[in-house]
Amino acid sequence: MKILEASGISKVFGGLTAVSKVDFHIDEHEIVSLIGPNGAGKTTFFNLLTGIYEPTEGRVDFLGAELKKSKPFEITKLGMARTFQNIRLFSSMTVLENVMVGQHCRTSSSIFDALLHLKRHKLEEVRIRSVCEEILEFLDLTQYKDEIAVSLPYGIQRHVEIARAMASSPRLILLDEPAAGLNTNEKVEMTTLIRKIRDRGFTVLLIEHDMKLVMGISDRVAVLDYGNKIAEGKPEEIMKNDRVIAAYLGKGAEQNA
Amino acid sequence: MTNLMTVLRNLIFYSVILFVAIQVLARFFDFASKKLIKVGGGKKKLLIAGVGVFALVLPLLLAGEPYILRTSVMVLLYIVLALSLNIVLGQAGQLSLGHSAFYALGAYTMAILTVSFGVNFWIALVAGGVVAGIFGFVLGIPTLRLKGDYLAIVTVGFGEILRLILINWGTFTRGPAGIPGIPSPSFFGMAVKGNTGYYYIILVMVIVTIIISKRLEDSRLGRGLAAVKDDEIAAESMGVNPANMKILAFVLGAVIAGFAGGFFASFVHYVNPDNFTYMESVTILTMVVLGGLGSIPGVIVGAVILAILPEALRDISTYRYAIYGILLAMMMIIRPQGMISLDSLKRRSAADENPRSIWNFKSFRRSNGR
Repeated sequence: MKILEASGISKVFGGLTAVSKVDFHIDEHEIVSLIGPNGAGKTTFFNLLTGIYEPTEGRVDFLGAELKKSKPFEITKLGMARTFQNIRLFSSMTVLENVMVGQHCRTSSSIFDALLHLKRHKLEEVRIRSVCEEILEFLDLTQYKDEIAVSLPYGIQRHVEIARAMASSPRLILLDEPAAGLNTNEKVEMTTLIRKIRDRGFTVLLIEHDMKLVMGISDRVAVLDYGNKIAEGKPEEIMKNDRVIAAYLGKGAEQNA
Repeated sequence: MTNLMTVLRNLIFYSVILFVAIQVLARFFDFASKKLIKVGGGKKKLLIAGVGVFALVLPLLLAGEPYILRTSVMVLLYIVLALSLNIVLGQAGQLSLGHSAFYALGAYTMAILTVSFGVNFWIALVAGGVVAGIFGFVLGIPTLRLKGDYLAIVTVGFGEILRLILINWGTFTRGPAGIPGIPSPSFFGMAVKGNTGYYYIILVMVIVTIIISKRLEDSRLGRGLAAVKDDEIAAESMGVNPANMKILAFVLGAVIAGFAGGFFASFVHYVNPDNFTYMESVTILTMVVLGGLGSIPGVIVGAVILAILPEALRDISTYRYAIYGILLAMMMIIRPQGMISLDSLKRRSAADENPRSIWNFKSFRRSNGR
């Protein structure tokens, strides 16, 4: 089942076409990767899917409905969550609080419920806490839950961001370079983690530069170059694709991977 | 020329004193915070109860000291105002420099309703909160697209426009002459006479405001506000609607400031536009920044210090705003997080929920390092 489908979407900034007529889809429970050289339009493409930018042309369908001028928070509520290339955790909050923000769109207590401590508020708070603690447990982050999130090591912060995205109970998780800046060990952990997320029932879209990671876990890989999709297919096919090798992988990629 | 030299000399002198004072206070509050980490839940309740009892019996202790009691009422009033601005600035991160406008709306609503229409104090108090809240909403909407400096400019403009309306709309507000003769409230038929009655009314308002701030902070909406403050784009991507959060903060902050204004009008029995200048907003802002943005105990400490300071320094009152300015600048350089920062509170509450959690983490890291 197609969970997300982009049909012919483009994004033009002034005279620059950052994304040009890209067709793309993701099936449920897939891990799909988006690769390409720096400046190929990967993050712009992400921002088009999540509603931060509006496509200049084309349409995006998510769970069978068109995302037309939807705001990012509305799209999150529909079931799409993301992480950021340069980690954007909430700096004044602990790990648990960061993750609890993820539950915001799944709860509905009003200001009066909160100020008067009505039953709805109390029940919801208990539920938010238990959902989030379960997610932290799942990602082995329980020991950090009361630490200020941004004071933690970089690798842990990446995991916290994924926990926060999971807390919004999404169908599709978009990871923007989750392995950037991680060391070899941490990259291996990240690979395991992404698989774990998928096995839990989430669908994953990944932007990543680390070929070992991408080729190891992806069901399907799409390659962007100068805003155009130049190839799409199984990892093995992509590694042999001449255009991809010329544009991105370079010679000797096969030995590396 | 000699005059100028004296002013400069005095300013430098006060700067040095402020510098030392900030350092000393900072050490003191750091020390107190650290001590409080070790204080258990039971003792902490005892401490809060102690402060509560002290606040309750204070008017009895000050029976022969009307001036000090009156100052205490003003201190409590500023705690309410500072906490109301803290919701906008500390919890939601929206720089509002027009907070005295909401305070003024509450005060003038009280004045006009009670003097011209003979409305009961309590109804007028609530009406003041409602009117301020409506204007908070009205101000909230155009500011949704604005951030930081631009938002600050619009809020300054809002405050000034309101003050000018109060001065010029003579038939309604009596212009610069102000509205005198605002009556005292009565409580179940008993007239509230003198400072003691007002003291207890404002004490209740302080307690309610603290509870509101605390409950807001611990709710999903409070976390939404903090998320918008920390990173609006990330907040929006996590499903938080920043527009709703900002409007919520503006309205709630305005309502509380409106209540404070209504109380003030009745307490001094007289309002005029000079009570609600831009400097009043700056004073409240300084309290929040000095105490610690977003930290409830911090803001209370800030309000207490800065409400007492002008009374203690009556002799140099000409330098009052210069001192506020220097204080703000110095705080930003020396201690931007405020006296009792939100960060230190988080660590503390984390520690007393589970006293070993921090230790565990450290030991984990240490063993990892080996």
